[in-house]
Amino acid sequence: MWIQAIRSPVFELPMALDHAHEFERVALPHAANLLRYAMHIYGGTKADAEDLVQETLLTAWRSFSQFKAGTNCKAWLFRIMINSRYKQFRRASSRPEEPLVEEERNLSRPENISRTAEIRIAFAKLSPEHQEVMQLAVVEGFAIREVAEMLKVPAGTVMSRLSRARAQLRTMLKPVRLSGEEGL
Amino acid sequence: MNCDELKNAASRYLAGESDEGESVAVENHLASCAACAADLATDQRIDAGLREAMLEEEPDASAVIRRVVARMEVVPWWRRVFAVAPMRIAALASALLVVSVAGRQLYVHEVEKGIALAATNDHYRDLVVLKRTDWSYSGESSAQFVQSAFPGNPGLVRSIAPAGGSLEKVRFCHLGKTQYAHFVFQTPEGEVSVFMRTIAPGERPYQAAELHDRSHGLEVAGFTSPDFVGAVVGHEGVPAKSLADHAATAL
Repeated sequence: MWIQAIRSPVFELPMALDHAHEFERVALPHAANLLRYAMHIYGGTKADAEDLVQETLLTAWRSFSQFKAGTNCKAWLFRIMINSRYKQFRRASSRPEEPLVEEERNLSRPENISRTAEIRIAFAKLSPEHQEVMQLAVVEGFAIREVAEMLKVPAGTVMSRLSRARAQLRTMLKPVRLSGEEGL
Repeated sequence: MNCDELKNAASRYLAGESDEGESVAVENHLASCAACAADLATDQRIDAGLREAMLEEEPDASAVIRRVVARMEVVPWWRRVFAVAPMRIAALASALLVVSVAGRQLYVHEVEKGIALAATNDHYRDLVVLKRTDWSYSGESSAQFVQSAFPGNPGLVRSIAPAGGSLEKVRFCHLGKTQYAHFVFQTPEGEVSVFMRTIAPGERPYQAAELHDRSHGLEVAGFTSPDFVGAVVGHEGVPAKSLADHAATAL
């Protein structure tokens, strides 16, 4: 409402305000999704994940004029973050830390863990490539084609990774299912 | 469709991306193959469980958002405009022209324009950008806020409330370097901000400013009373001046 009043066809200042407002409206609401993905997939501390998300959003802001209104902003942001991460990874030339080590230790005591924790632990045991596709396609809800574009792999590769990831989860969760109260 | 073909198609099917022909083929196979049906049903439960496990806690991204917005604000708008090389000269000429025109369109009837502008900026940031999290919302928390910030003034909110408006939230902010309380009222005409503070002992009350930016439709009107000073901000259509006059009288 307020921005409607500010809008004016006259000049760049209101255009700049619109530009910033539009970015805040369409891009910033996805910050939590980006942060969740960065924390789960890349491991490390929350501060590391926040730094990556900040870098992602500022990169997106600087190139926001290239974003096509009406297209999937969330997918665009994830593509930027995954690219940024690849660049960081190449610079560091080292593997990211494996997340959820502490929780893995608890797997030997299934009676102490909840159903969601069981799934988290099984998920953490997947390879990074399998975690990536499951997180993007299943948790974040991206289409297979979008995931393929983000990861720069063919759609068939995404589908086969999803298939293998699900098969591994089925195997890992089966014993828990048989002994657990609720199961899957 | 056989079992191997189903494994290939399962990812698309589970994602809801199979076309009608593939969906029918998958469902026909599932009807005749208990093993594949069991696997696919397990996959669906695992997918749902994974979503639940990953989405049950929303990470707090407010710190990142604040940092990003702060860095966004560092980039001047004109740098982005001039980033398009062919437009630089034209944009510069336009900028000078429009700043000149806009300047003439601002009718500042009285002093304290800076405070009024800071109030409009705060109104925009807090109500449009919506990045603040430290509001005290209407009800007990806002009552506690008022009691703490303006002790001995139980009727204060009633005095500054626009007709037909209800208090939505309140927080402290800074206009210039001075702390103000920022009240937000919901009115039939939209959100109205009232910024106010107590006049310090010995302080000379400033004259109320009224600022009207016709091209952008922003309205700000200041008010002053023996004990309080402040400003009312709203978009065009909100009678900021009369609301400010009402506040000055009621306070």
